[in-house]
Amino acid sequence: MTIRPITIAAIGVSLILVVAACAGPGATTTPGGAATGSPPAGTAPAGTEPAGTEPAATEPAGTEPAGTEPAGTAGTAYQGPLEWWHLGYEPGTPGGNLVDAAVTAYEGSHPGVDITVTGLAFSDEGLAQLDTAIAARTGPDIFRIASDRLPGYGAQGVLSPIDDHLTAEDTADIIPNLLEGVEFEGQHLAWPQWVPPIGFYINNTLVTDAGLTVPDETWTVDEFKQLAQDLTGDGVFGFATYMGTASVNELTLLYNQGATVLNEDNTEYTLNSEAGVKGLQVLIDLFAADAMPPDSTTLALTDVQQGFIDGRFAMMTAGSGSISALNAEEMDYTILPPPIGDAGEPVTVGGMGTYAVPMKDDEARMAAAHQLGRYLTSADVAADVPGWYLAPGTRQSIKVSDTTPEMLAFEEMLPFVTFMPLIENWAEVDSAIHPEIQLAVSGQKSAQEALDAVGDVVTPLLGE
Amino acid sequence: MTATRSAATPGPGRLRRFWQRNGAGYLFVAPSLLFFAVFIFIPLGWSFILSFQDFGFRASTWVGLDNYTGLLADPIFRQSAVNTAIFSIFTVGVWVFVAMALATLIHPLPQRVRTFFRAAYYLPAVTSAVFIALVWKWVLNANPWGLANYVLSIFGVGPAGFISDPSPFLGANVALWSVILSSALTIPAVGVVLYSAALAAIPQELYEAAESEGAGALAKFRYVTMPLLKPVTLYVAVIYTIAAFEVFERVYVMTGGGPGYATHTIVYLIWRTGFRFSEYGLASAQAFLLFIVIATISVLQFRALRSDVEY
Repeated sequence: MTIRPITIAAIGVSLILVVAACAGPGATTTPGGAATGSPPAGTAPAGTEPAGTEPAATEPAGTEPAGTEPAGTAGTAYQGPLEWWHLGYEPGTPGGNLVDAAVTAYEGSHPGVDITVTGLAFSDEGLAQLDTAIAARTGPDIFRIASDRLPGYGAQGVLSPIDDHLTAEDTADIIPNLLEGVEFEGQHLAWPQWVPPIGFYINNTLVTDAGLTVPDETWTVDEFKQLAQDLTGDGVFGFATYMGTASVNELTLLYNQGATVLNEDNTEYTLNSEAGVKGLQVLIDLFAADAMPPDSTTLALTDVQQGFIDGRFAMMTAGSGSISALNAEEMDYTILPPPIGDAGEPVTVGGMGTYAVPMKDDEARMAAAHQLGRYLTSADVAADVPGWYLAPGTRQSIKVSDTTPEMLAFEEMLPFVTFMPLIENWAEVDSAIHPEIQLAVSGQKSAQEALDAVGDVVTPLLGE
Repeated sequence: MTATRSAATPGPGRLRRFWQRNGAGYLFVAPSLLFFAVFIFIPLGWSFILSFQDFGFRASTWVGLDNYTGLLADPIFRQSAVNTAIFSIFTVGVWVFVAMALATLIHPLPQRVRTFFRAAYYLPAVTSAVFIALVWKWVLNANPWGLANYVLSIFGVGPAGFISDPSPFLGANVALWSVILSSALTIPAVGVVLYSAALAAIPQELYEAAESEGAGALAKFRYVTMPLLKPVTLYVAVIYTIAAFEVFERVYVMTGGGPGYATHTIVYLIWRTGFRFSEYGLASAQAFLLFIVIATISVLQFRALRSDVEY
C-alpha cells in the first residue's frame, strides 16, 4: 500500500491538534479573572455577599493583639502546601497587597507551610468556579465566602465545621450573636471575619444647605421619612437604596418595624406580617412622593453610592465599605443606624465575611487550614497586617475604629445586627423577595399583596 | 470465471480503497469532530442526563421528569417564557424587515457607497453586546438625564420610566417593551449584509422582463425581489429567532430581570437557576425545554419559508 504524502501530513497535523486539544489548563496558581482587585466600596456581586460586605482597602486599622492559638492541634505540626482561594484577589491592588502581607506573615510564623493564593472573579461566575471545584473535590483548602452561602454548602456536607478547632479564647472573644451567624444545624461552618452592618449615610452638606438638622441615632422612621421628603428637590432625591438581588439594604426598613423574613426556627414565612407591610409602605410612600429616584427598582448597588457621592441622593443605605470611597471624595457625612420603628429599639441587618474550610481526606491539612482561618479572623492578623480589617471584626479584641473613626458607628451596631436566615435555599428565598418589593415600590402591587406573593413562593421552599 | 464479492460484505480491498480515497479527508476533520465531541456533544448529553436529576455536590439524585413538570407549573418560568416569546416575535419581525429594507435602499447606490454602508451597518455585529446594552441603559434611564427622557423634556413630555416601569402595556409591560425597543433599534447587521449580497445575485433580466410587462417599483419588489430573497429570509429568520430566544446580556445589563419579573427571559432564568441557586439539574431542564421550543419553531419556519422559486 502506498501512503501518499498528503495522508502523512494529515495524520501529523491531526495528531498535533489532538494533543493540543487534550492539554488542559494548568492549576491556577496566579490570580485569574478577578473582576476587581479590591471590590469597590459597598459593592457585592449579586447573589454572593450582602451589599456592603466588601469594602475597599484604603484605611489602616489599628488593633489590639489578642487571641491565642490552641496548643497541640494537628494543624500546628503540618508542613506543606495550603491552597487559599480569595474572591476578588488581584496582586498589586490594595486588597491584593493585604492578602500577600497576611500570607508572608503567616508563613513567617509557620515555617514549612507554603500558601498559594488564587483569585476568583468577584461575581457569580467566580462562585460557580468555586462550586465546581468543591463538587469535584479539587477545591481549595480555605476560601473566603459570605455567610449566606454557608447553609448551601453545609447541607451538602462539603465544609469542615470549626467547632473542633474553636478554643475557649475564641469563644470568649467572638461576639456571641455573630458566632450564630455561621451556625447551621448546630454546627459552626466557618471562621467569622467581619460584619458590615447596613447603616444610613446622610450628606451633611445637603442637610445644612436645606436649613435642616442632622439627626442622631435616636431618630425615628417618621423623622426619617420627613427628612427624606424635605431634602428632595433641585435634582436631589432624599433617599436611595439598593433593592436588587442579594440586597439586605431595603430590608432594614422592614426589620426596624419588627418584621423578619422567617420565624425563629426558620419554618414559617413571616415577612408579610403587619410590621413587614408597614415597613414596605415606608418605601412605597417615599417613592410615590418622588423622594426616591425614578429608577429605584433597577438601581445598581454601585449607582446608589455614586449618586450619593454626586450629591443626587441625600441619604443612602450602605455598609462600612462605602467609607473609604466617601473619604476619598472628602465628603461630609454622618452614619446612623436605621431609624427606630415599631421594634422600639435599633435594629439593622447585615452579612458576614467568613473563611470556610472544605472537607478533605487529609486531616492534618484540614487542621492546618483551620489554623490559617483562625489567624485570618483574629486580632493577630490585624497586628501583622495594618489595614487588614475593612469592616468591624467579629471579635471583641478587634477595634477598627481606632484608626478609622467612621467605623465606630458600625461597631456600635454590632450588638443589634440581625442576619438573614441561614437556610439551604436562601438564594431562592432572596430571589423571591426583591422582585415583589420592586413591584410594590413601583405601584404595581400593594405592600400586602407583594409580601403575600413572596410567601407563595417561599412557603413551599421551607417545606423542602 | 471471475469470482465476485457481494456488495453487502465489503472485503479488505474495498476498505483499503475507501481509506485511500477518503482517509485524508476524515483525518482532517477528526480534530474538529473530536473538539465537537468533547466540548459540545458530551456536555450536551451530560446536561440532558443532569436535567433528570437534583444536582448535589457529593451526589445527584434521580428525579425523573420532576424538573420538567415543575417548570410547567412555575409561574416565574411561564412569565419568562411569555416575555421571551413577545421579545422574539417583535424583534425578529423588525430585524427581518429592517434588514431587507436597508439592503434594498443601498442596493441601487454606486459600489463604493454601497460598500461603505454595508460596513457601517455591520458595526453592531462587531461591537460588544454588553457595551451596546450599557449605552441603551443610559438612553432609557428613567431619570431626566437619560437621553430619551431628555429629548421628551424638550417637547414638554415625561419623564417616562422606560426600563424601570413594570406597568402593564400592550399585553406586556413598559420595561419589556423598552428592552424590545432597544433591540429593535439595533441594526440587524448580518441580515443587511446577507440581503445585500442576495440582491446583487438577482439577474437583471428578471427586472427588465417585469418592466416590459408594466410592473412598477412596488410590483417588481413584491413579485420579483421578495420571492427570490426567500432563501435568505428563511436563513435570517431562523438565526434571528434563535438569537432572540437566547437574549440574555441585554436583560442582564439593562434591567437585571426586573423590575419584578417584568423582563425575565428564559435564558436569564437559566442563568439565575444555575449560577445563583446552584440548581444545575433544574437549569438543564430549562435549557432543554428552550432547545425544544427553538427547534420546533425552526422547523416550522423552514416549512413556511421553503423556497419553491427557481431562477
